[in-house]
Amino acid sequence: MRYVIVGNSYAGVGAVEAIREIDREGDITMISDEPYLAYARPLISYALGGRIPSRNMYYRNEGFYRKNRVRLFLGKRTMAIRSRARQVLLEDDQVLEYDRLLISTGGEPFIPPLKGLDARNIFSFTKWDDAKRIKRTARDKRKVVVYGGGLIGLKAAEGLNDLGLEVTMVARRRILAAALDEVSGGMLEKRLRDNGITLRTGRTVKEVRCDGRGDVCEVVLDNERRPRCEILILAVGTRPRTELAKNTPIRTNKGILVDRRMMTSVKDIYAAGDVAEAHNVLNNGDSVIAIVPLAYEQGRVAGHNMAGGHRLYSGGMGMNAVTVYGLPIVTIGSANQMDDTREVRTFRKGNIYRKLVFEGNRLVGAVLVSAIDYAGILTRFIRSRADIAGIKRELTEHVLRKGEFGPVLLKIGGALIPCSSGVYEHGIDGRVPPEKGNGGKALWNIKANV
Amino acid sequence: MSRKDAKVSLGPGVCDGCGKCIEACLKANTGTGRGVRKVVGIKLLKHGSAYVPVICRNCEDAPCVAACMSGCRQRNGKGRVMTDYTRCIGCWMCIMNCPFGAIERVEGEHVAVKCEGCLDRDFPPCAAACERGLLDCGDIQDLARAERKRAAVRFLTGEGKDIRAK
Repeated sequence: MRYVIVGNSYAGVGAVEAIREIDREGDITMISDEPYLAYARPLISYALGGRIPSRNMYYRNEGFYRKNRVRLFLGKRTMAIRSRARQVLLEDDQVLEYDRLLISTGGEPFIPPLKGLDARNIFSFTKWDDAKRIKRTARDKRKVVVYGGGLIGLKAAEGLNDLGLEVTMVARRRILAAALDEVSGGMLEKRLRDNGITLRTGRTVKEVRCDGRGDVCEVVLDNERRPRCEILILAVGTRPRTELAKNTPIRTNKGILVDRRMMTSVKDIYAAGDVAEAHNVLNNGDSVIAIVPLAYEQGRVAGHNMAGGHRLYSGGMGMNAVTVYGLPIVTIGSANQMDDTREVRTFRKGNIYRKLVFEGNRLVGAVLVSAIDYAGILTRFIRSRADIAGIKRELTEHVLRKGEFGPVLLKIGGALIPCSSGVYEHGIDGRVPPEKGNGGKALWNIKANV
Repeated sequence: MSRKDAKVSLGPGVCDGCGKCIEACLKANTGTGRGVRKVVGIKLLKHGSAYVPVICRNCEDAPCVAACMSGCRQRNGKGRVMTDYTRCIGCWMCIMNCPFGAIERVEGEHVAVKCEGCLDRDFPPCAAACERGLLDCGDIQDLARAERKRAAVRFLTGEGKDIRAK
């Protein structure tokens, strides 16, 4: 069996590991247009700010490729897929044949149509090379504007602030508006301001101006204010890198559409990670959710299926953990979109903030600030769409108000109390005892080696 | 069987919250050059008089491995989830994904710590310290077989009321 994987990041790595669990023999080829072994993309801000040495940027080392016998093409673009001939075409006209293909090309920065973008020292911030270029440029610069209040913008601002630059963030709405509610967003913004980052929220950039040498010198906001800058970072969003699907029968929407096996509309071609539009448990539809855990998981599911196994993707949802100047924030599921059918409970004391969002007998979202331990237990409740009627009181009284998870764990019984002999045989099957909960419906199904 | 295949496991029984496992874990793992000041592999959650010990279960499709940004947490060939703490940057993605709450944040150090199984020792100190025999260490199949046998003996002889019944 010949496996070809386009992309060398979380989804691709997950696929390789999964393929090798089933197929020790087949040929695996990975292609990346970047010159690096798999590296930790979300950590480029750490590389920029000099918080970690570059050797710690690698997500997997050479040993990974050697052990899994991966033939690696680095710094090479994949130009096209010939789905009928089962071939991919590389930039130097090299042709690779495949039996199973995985498209894990990730996302690419969205560049807004602004006047003046031909000026120098304007960067996007999604690759290691971006971080390196920005770092080189920043050596003799003082002021920088980051346009975009999402995670990438936030990370860029933090990294540049670490370098000692004066950072102004311009955001259309609040900072991390899509993920955080106003309270936690406010706490985050205060942290940013306290650490010397200037915020211009609720603003858009109309135009970019450059000086006589062609270097960017200021941006014009919609309120006619003109923050000066010597570097401009564009971080208004990313979109799936679907260009390989063009001129093929592979169906796309925002991303490449996949079924629960992570297979595209073309047999034996799979997609995973930030490029894929996959099942979303919260709206029961398909969404592009560009986060690390889902990319890796989708890669694993794809890998198992490519190697002849049969696995279905359980579906994902948005979630994120960020630490901004020592303030940890976790936001899980749908914590921000409000409507009448939802019941919201919040608790705040000093720096500690917790929010649980219920929809009937389901937990659909959670936000935790400062005290984030055990957040994964909530993630499982939300992602599994479990009926939590039996533990709702424990959630609102103990988890929300005191941050104590003991009562919840005790009540879900067999899953975590060591007195379940099922623990040995079947892993953790997470049943709520019938008399206590929801009629014994499994809350989660994690196969665990106790 | 080599120590590398044996896992710390939570067996059937009722934890009385004596805390000796935590003591032993702290003693064994503090300042052992893992770049972490304080390591607690086991946590005891309390509710009234009941206790829930929480420990890493080395999940097969481990959510913490999937969520790990830096790649410091990986499953090794022996089915164990292991962490390279020199590479952990404390993004807390694993904490957000561990369904058992078995990973702990070490504040100030930006490290997310869990039980690593004390592979450098013949027998894990926590299991040695557990007086009720809840924490044990061995091959999972062997432990399961022993437990089945005990249950069968209890059932056939009617001896020893099943403590789990309460």
